[in-house]
Amino acid sequence: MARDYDHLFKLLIIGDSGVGKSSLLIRFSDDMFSGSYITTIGVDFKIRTVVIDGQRVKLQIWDTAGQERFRTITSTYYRGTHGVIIVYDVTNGDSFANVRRWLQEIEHNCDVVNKILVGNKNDDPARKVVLTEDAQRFARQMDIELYETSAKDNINVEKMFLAITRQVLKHKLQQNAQNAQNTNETIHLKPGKKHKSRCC
Amino acid sequence: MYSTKSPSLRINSGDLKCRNGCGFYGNTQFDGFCSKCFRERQQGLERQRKQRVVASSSTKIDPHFPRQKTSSHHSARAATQQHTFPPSPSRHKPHSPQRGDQQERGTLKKNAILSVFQKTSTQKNVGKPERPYVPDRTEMEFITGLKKLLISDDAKKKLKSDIQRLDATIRDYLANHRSIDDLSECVQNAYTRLSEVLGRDPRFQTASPEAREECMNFFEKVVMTRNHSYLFSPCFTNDEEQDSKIQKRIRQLGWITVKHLSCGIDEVHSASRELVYTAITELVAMDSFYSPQEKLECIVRCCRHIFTLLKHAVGGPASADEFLPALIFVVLKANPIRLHSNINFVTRFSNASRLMSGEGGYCFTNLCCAITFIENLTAVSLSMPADEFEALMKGEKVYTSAWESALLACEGLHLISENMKKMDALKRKNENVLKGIECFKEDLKQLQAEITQKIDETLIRAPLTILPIKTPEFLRTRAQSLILSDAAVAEQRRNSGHFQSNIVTSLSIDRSDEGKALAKDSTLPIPIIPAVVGTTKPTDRDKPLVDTKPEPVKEALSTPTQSPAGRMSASSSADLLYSSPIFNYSPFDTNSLGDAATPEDFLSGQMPDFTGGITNINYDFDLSDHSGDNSVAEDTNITTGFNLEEFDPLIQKPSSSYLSSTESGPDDPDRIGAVECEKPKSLIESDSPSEILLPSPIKPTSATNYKGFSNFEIPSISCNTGDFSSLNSCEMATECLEGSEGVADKK
Repeated sequence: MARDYDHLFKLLIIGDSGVGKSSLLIRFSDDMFSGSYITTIGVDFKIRTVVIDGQRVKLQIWDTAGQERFRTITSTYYRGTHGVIIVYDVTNGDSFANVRRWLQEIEHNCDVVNKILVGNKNDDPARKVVLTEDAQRFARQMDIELYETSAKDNINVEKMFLAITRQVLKHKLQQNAQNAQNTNETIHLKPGKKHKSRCC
Repeated sequence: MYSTKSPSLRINSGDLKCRNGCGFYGNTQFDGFCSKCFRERQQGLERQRKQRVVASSSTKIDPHFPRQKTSSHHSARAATQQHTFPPSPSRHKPHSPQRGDQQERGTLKKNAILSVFQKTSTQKNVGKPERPYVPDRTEMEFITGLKKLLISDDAKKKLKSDIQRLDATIRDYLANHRSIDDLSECVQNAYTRLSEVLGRDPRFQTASPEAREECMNFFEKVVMTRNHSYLFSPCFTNDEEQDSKIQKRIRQLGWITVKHLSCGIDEVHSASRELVYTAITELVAMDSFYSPQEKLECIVRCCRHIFTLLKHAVGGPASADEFLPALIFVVLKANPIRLHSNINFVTRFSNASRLMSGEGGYCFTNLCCAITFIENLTAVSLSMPADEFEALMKGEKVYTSAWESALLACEGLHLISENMKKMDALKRKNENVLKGIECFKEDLKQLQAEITQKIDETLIRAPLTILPIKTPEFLRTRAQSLILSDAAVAEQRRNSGHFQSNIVTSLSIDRSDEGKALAKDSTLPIPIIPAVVGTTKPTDRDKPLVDTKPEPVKEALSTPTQSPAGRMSASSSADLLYSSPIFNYSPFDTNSLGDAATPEDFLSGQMPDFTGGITNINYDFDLSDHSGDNSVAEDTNITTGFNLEEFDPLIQKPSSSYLSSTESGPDDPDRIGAVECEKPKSLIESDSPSEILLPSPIKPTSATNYKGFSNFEIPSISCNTGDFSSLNSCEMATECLEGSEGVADKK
């Protein structure tokens, strides 16, 4: 018997308070999906296993507090994060404006991380403030994928999460390949080092 | 390696155990023994000392003695010994011969003391290897834990050796270096190495992933618990300073409420308050655990409580936007001790992967965030004016928080409201009861009305008609046959009951002397009273008479046989009726009545005869009694004369017999006795059946009668014996008096 997953990814959802991070998360983790889905740890700490390209990927999604006053302290969240989902509210221009700040935050805290931009609450065109074109342009500029979702109507939520997972998986596989190369190169060094450490 | 250990380092928990290895904790005051072992040892030493004193009663003891004494006391022994021992050669030089003596004499004691010294020295210099290894409780736990692991024995050996190696590495490292970060890295490397081993080593191949994880956890737990005292808040870090700093800070921020943090905790709600308390308890409990994972578990439990709490408040799964403020609030209210030390310990020595993923990691990260927030808290982050914030921080201004009031003031108010609720409930109940009572009353009234109505109806429907009592046919026929002719009698008979018929029957016989009978009958009910009085003497005196009477009685009974059977029954009932009121005296009274009746009858008929009879009988009796009796008899005659008509016939009959007897001669005692016996029976019979006559026995209770009765009763005792007894009593009294006088005289 092996582990029930091949990869374990930690995803972080960030964004202004009230943009619908938690509802996205709840929609994703609690809504039924073809893949096996486990909520072993609890309803509040979201875990879901999805299958991508035949590989079981266990997703741990960390919700974060989006309030302005917690902005400075969220750095600890980024430790060991594989992917970040930046959420803004399409009916709230400020939340979109803050995306830039969030991106800066990510730059600060992680070296290389997979990001995705999500415009949530895309269910009422009448109230939509942030136009898709603007957001698209911005996303292209920052070299991030953009998804417009609605947690309420369950639009694109699944798709968006799978996209970020795929991205992270791809990144990881690439890294693994690189690491394999690196280890091949340095393999002769390791035994010696080990020996050394044992001596003292 | 232990020799190089810096003295400032904390000692292992194992070193704190009693040196006897009994499992209890030792005390430096007791030489590292536990109190019990120390006392035992001390007693042993004392004994030896005494022996020595006795043995070496020579002069050399003096200088050595005080030292011994101090050592026997518990005053900072380890330290003093430590100090005294090294310079001992110089100090004890003058007494070296003495020491030699001592060694020669008390080898046992010397050994004991030396061993003590050795032990203290080994504890400080060489460490535990020289001590006999006794596994303590935690050690035992690890051994059993290791046994429980579902891996092969080889794997267990490997794991154990790894644990020991890391253990040694940590201590070694601590002895040489003082960089906690390096140590942390070292430990983390050990973790990764072990995880690699677990993944690749053939000895672990058979183990399941869960078992491997268990191994990893076990490894971490064992090493960390063992080295907790070295690794937790080491002296070369500023953890303790940070601890006190944040503690002070949190204390300063005691005024912060839910509103400041805008989190959804309902302070007033009892259930959520309870959850806050449990969360706080969990967070505070974190410090009491040794291993990082146990500490993490505490944090996770705390966070779960907060999540449930928020679920209550929000009404759905809580988001981090609500969770973090709530956690900050809990941390602020809990103010856990050694917060930074704990956080740092977990951060440094917990398996890094544990902190980066999983629920534990998430909760821990949030806790770190909360702490950071608290540390960097400003007026802006609480969205309140800076000056107010400053004032509150300096304690210049007191913020009356809803939380505090909920905790303190509202506790009482809460109780009051609870009680009010209870009172309301009781009031409602009471009202219900009262209502119920009213309803019941109404119902009762209704029922009463209904019942009365129904009764009225039934009464109307079926009115009570009292029909005349019908005399049995056979009686009537017999009566008819007896009376034969008289129509008037027949009418009378119809009107009266069957008893009347009896009377009628008898009446028919003695019709001829009606007038006379009437006169006699009038006396009938009363006769009993005089009889009672009269009997006193006759009964007792004339008992033979009574005894002899049966024959005449029978005669008397036989004579009226013409009267219907009802009469017989009446007589028997009469006896019963008579007997009952007088109860104890029933046999006596019946007789007496029987006897007494006669004089009455005599009275009615022939007064002089009666008195004469009585005088004849009572030789010694007081005349006053008789006069009273007579008078009563006369009075009653007059008063009762009217209603006796009915009984005429009955009495008529005996009277007739009596008349016949009287004719024969009243002076003849036999005759009189016969008549007496005959008469009373008939009288009794006549009295008893009719309701009107029944009270007659009670009539005697009327003042005059009663007197007679009382006279009878009291004298009866004194009367019978009376004549003599009264005298006797007098004599007795005199005797008594004399006696008493005599006694007095004697005295």
